[in-house]
Amino acid sequence: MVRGLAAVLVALGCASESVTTVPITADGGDVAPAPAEMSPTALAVRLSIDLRGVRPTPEELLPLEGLNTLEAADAALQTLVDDFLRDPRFPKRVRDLWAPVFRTRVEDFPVPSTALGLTPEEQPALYASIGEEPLQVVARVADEDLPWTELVTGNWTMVDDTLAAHWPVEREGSGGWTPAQYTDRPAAGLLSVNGLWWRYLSDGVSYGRGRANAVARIFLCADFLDRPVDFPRELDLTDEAAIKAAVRENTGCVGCHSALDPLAGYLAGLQYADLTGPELIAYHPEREREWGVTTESHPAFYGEAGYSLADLGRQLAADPRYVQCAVERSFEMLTRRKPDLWALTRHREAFLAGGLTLRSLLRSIVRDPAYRDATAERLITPEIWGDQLEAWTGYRLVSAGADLLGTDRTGLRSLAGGGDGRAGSNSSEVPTTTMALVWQRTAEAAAAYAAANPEESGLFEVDPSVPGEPESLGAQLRAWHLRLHGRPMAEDGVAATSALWDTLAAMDGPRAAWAGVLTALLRDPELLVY
Amino acid sequence: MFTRRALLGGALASALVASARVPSPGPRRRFVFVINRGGWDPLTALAPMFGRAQIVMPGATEAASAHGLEYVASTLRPSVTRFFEGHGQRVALLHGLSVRSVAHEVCERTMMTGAATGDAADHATRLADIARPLPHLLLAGPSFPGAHVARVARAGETGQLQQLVDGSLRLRSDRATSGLSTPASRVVNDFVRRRARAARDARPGPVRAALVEALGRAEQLEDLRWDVDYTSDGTLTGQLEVSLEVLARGLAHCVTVSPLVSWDTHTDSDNQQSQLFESLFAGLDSFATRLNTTLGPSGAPLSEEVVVVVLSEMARTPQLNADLGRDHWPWTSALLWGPGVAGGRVLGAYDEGYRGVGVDAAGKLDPSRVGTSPLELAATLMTLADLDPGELGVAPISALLS
Repeated sequence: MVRGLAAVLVALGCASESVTTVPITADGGDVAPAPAEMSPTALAVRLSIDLRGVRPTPEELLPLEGLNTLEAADAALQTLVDDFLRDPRFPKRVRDLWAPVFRTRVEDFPVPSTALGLTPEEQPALYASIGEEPLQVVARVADEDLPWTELVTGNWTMVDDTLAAHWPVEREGSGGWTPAQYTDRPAAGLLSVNGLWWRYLSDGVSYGRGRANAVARIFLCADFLDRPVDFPRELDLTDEAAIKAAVRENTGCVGCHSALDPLAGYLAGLQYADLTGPELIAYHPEREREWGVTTESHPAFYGEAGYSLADLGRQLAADPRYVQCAVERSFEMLTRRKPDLWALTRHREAFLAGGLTLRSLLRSIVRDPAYRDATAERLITPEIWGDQLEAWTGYRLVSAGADLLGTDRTGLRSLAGGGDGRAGSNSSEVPTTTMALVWQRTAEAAAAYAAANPEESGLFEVDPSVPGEPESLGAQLRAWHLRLHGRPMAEDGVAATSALWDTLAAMDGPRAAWAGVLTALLRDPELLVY
Repeated sequence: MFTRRALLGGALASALVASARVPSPGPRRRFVFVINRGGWDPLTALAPMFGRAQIVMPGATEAASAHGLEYVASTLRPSVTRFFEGHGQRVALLHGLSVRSVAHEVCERTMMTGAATGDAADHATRLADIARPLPHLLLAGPSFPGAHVARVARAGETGQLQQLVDGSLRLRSDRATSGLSTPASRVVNDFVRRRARAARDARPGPVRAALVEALGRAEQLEDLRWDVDYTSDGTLTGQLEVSLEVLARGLAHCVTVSPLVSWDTHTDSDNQQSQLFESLFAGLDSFATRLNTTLGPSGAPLSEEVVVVVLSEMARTPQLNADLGRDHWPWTSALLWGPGVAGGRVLGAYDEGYRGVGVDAAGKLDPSRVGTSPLELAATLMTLADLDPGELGVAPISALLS
């Protein structure tokens, strides 16, 4: 009540809004001017964040000491790239990078958790599992150096305990995400997995055409919707027979449908009769030939006939566009720009020479001048921010088992600058008001958690509950700065941050002072761009 | 249930509106988008296509006119008539918008962005002014941010934006923490802001400059955390109420609302659409009145500043199916009103078969064009927002502009 009254008084302009100000040096302490060329250390930071989602440790940066140019540091950087690509966090990073392509991280799948015998409270976790299934397959292909074609030809999927309990699969192992085989359908990599087709539905009149377009967009970078579409005026759209005739005979329709409808024919066994769990979970082999009465187009891949999902997988893998699309997408993910012809050719050759492993492709791209452009600073994504906070403090903002930085409708992903899970947009490249608030609130929570649980976080060399000596304060601040930035803290930075600690300690005591100082350090602008 | 908005109602709320506004960054018009998901049926309320052999009009309806607008009236939908009679002089209808698909997701993207694929942002995001704390406040509904993710602030279904602003977010965590006291948080914020300014000055660049701005606007929101409530009950009325509040305070440039109901009526369509339109127009009628009586940051009524755009991603077939439902139809209508909109005007049309008939920039029907593109609507909205629509490569529909 008192708080509410105070708030009203503030709103009415009756209360003081003054803020205690901590002295800070003119340059803010420890902010260096931008170098003309990307330094080896800056590139290492970029590589570490891009390839495994966290900044490098001080120890990892040691081999770069005294190496002032990228040329001089080339061998050391190559070693770091190899290390980062073998890091246990690399598969998670792969999933985050490919999520905007697959667009399966959505929160509105058609079957509620209650229809699968789960509680409403379990729905976010269920949907998270469904959306991650395709991305886990991508991550395994990347992590185990399987050829990229395995994505559409493999005879396995990935499941966790939730999916294993509901999908028709035989699982290898248990606990966490493990490989599994569907038992009721042709094996065709991602073309066979429920996690993809629960996202891309096919209503009663599309007969799988929308799904076929998703296949073309995701794997070939060939979106039929990029082509101009117009319904001929003479076509009666209420007459199903007229529509069937038009897609075969009308010049304006045939251009797309001659390729799209045969692609959709491959997916007939995935067609459901209604949006219920049993219908959507199971494959329906008895419907595989229903294309004969729906689109009347025999399954075929841009003119080459086939018979099953497995044929479609093999045809996709053999299409030169399949490899080219992977190169284009990977290049854009890492450089945030489109490749020119020469870059595309160069990295495609490296990808092919590397046995179509994602690691070989990424190794090539991170050597590209576009990747090493010092002027093209990136802003951290919500996923990276969450990973980084957890790595530093042991804290992750999880509610009812769901990572709030990874969801839109109930979480903070888009407020934190993340791309929309359904629309597949990329994350923000400009800081916003809500991103600033997310960084603030999550840093406050992580710092408070670390200060309240100093042994678990491993961050504290002092006892945060008792006032310390100036020497120990300075040592702790230097240690934190080194851990966060990978380099020593400048003395004026130590002074400014110590003054902040003193101010906060005088207000709320030492533990709050430590939490506040750690919050400030975690929110350092230099940690938000890379 | 008591909400902060309810507690701050009446005279106190008026006083707060007057005392706690964010300075307006410019005179540009602002927008509210009302998105009706699932595909509405214009034949129920907007498009009086009586007497056509190929079109089955819903029962208990009749053609009506108000302020030069022809619409579909029914005693079952008094709010529709009340809206057009009360506000029709400011309202424009655009018929025959072509979404070129009958798939919800494709149509939604096309209607809201003007393009079926690619990185095009939705209208609200495209128009939003980044200088506002919440350039495009998305209270509910789909989002196509394209390359402008930075402009979108999603309120969230569980009140995430509110929790973020008032600091209660940490309480949702499975590992709840105590957080900093408000005075301590302010000290830290001040430290971080000055650190950000130092970083910007030492290493100039757009990202660091934007961070300084963002931190400043975040502080504005925090200062208003006890005054503004971004949560709603999910209804159209509830969402429009939040819209009024943030528009009155100058916090948002565009707001998107989308009632949590489905217009996808494949069974018993006419009855369902009738109820949906009655509910929609009851909300619109009340909102239009409130815009007239609520002052914006400049001191003028919001109705002089805010354009309202009402859309649905597709329409319904002109004939009933076996379940008395109506299926998907690729030509639809839009409704808009506000400053700069030529009110009392109907543009575009449907032909005898309920296909769209295009309209040229001057508003003249062009039978050679099978409908009007949502991209042209996008260009028109950009013009209303004082933005150059040249990048879209199509001309605005000038006849929609007063």
